[in-house]
Amino acid sequence: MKPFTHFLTKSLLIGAASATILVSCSDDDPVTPTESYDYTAILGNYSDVVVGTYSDLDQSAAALLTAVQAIQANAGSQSHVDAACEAWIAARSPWEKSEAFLFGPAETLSLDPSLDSWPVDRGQLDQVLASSEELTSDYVRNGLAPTLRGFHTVEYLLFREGQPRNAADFTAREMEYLIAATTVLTEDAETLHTEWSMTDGYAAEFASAGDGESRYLTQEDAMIEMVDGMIGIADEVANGKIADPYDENNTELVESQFSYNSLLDFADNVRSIQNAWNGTYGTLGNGTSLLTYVTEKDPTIAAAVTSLINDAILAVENIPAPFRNNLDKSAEIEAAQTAINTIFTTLEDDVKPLITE
Amino acid sequence: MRLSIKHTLILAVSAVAFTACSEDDPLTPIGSMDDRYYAGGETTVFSNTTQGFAVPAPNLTGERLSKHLDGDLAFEQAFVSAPATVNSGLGPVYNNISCAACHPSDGRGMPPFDGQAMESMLLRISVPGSHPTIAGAPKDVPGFGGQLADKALFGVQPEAKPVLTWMHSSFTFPDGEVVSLRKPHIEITDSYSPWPSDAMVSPRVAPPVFGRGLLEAISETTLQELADPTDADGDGISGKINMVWDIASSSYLPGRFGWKAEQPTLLQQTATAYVQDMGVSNPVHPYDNAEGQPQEDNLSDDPEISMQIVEDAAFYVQTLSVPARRNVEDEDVERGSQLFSQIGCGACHVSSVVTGSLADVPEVSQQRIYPYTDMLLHDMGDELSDNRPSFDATGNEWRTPPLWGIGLTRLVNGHEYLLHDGRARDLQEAILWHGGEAEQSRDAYASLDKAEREKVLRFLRSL
Repeated sequence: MKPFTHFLTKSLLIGAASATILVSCSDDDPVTPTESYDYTAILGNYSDVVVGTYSDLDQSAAALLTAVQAIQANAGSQSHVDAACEAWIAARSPWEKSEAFLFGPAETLSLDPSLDSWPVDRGQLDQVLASSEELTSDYVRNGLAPTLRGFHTVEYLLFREGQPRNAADFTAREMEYLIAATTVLTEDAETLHTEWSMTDGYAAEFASAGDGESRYLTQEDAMIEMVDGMIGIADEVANGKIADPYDENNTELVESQFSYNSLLDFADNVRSIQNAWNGTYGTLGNGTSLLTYVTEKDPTIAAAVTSLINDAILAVENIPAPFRNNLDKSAEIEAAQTAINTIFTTLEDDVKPLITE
Repeated sequence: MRLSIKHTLILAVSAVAFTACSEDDPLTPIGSMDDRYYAGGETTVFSNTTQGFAVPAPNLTGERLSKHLDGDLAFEQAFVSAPATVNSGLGPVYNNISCAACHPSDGRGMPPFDGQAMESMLLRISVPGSHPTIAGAPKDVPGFGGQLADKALFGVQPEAKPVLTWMHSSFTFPDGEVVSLRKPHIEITDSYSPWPSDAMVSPRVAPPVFGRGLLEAISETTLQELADPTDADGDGISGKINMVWDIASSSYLPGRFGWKAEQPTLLQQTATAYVQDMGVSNPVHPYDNAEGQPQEDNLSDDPEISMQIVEDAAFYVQTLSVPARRNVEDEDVERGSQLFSQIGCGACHVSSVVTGSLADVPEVSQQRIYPYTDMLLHDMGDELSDNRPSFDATGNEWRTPPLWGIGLTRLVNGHEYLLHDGRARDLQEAILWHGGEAEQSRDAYASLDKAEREKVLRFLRSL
């Protein structure tokens, strides 16, 4: 989920606002801008990166379902539980690497809350498990709230205190629920992938910005969407995912706390920014990207952003694991927050103006 | 803040004093051309992205901004069943689990497709007769209250399962073009106790929430100047304030929020949404929505959230910015704007007012804004009627919704389902459903040639 905190954007807005006030009653006609740069290749490659990420999510979610089904088929086998936990971590990664582009179908089709609601409604889950309700994927999707499905519900059923649960502890009802919830997760992952990749899907919408048909009026608007997506997740990681539990010293607020996967989540979120910046996802993407554009306009800023992103990943990795047990490590935690917020301010202050000016 | 090229250039070429606008008569319409970019006055943001409705007002600073951001978190907070260590208090019956779930990206909800469950639409319900304590208020349906909760915690039965079916018809323009229209038919099924045969049902899609503080700041005097309840000027357009019950002051105040203007303040709107939409009790409504009903939870955890949370969420909605218009200088858009006025749309969709003072929210006070609403009730005809009166609003009467930002709906929310029940699938369908006082304007629109109709639509998409 995406609490849109934007701590720093706000302060940045103020300077701009006071400028706009001055002209709010001006008689001058606004000047129509002419687009001086052809962003087609960047937008097209960015769409490929998004589709590649969701393709990975789709496939790794399917692998997670297979792994979860194998626990049921091999009741009591710890190695199958361990494998399913590894599959959960593997599927979690492309989702976290998609959080720099939570706009479009993830939002309009409520797929983000369906996949990633937090907290888990453990009270209701216990009651559902204790009942005789038939635990189908249709029931989990349509009969229960989003806080009873998605990554964290599946995580809760697979992990305890950072470790795979004991195979002997799984009840038959838990297994049924796990399979039903994971099935819904795979459906959502597939929907996201399809909604972006299909003919006339969101990738096409995005890549054709400014053609008169796309919902994006101009290519510049789509470029700003891209940067805002990167800023949005930087803001959420530094000022939400890390800040909420840290500021309140409350482990209950830590995301991915059952698997102790939080720090990898955070680092993958920064890698999501990195992928958008570089225009690559693993071996996918040709690298024609925001980095290309900024390098042309101002190589100093381009180099700075590249190294800030690298620094932020290292800073997150420098927080002792697991995050939930180290909320007192102020120096490391605050260093990571600062590093991520510096990406935020640099994108806002230095990169955006290169697009809008 | 996405300060576009246009406005950066304006800054370079103009240095015009801005004080003139605040001296204008609140009802004098239309400033200069670029004035009209600033739909929300100083709270305007230049953003043509999916975040266009979700940006804090740029004139928030320091602690004010922090409060807004706290409200943002409250607005996103997903509630779970009590007892829980975080976000406790959902239900026992409810419509959805967070504010944002019905107002995605601070934008517009949508009705379900045939036979699907309602996600960001709900049903207000009542039976004929007088409310026992508040004159004019709808009378609760015994055992169900004033809003149908179609979802429930595990072990609790949803109050009912409403089944929506779309009925299709068509509209033929004088020039022969045919447009298909649809209208919902709603059946109440599987009710947890017998559903009264005389119960009235009003479907409501969740509206966008940005710019609401500005609408709250419009003075009562201005509303009264706009109102013409007896159509004294004989233009066929009345316009009536819905006087509704204000809990805080124990008095009747002009209703402003909701499709029939049934809530006088954003604080009351927010507190009521917490309890009715999510079953989250709060200091304004200190009991669950199922209190006194057979399915109440009998927990002693009320109120489930603090007044601080309610106030933060209300402040968030009060201080979201309004997206700037786009393409104001486009010739077709300009022509569309003229046509919009000529055919009378602006009689109710009043383009501009200056706000008054909203206590403790200077950011939205004394702003020249372009909301395209008069905030008043109008008879919209039998086809749009919900046949369910509420305070001074008859079944046929609806509050003029603001049109600002409407052109970004498709980008932000992925659809353009408009009107109270989301029946219109685009701007033109919405126009064609206008009846009653708006019938003349609807007919005038229909009589335009196709190129002119497209210009009106282009104008609307520029808002």
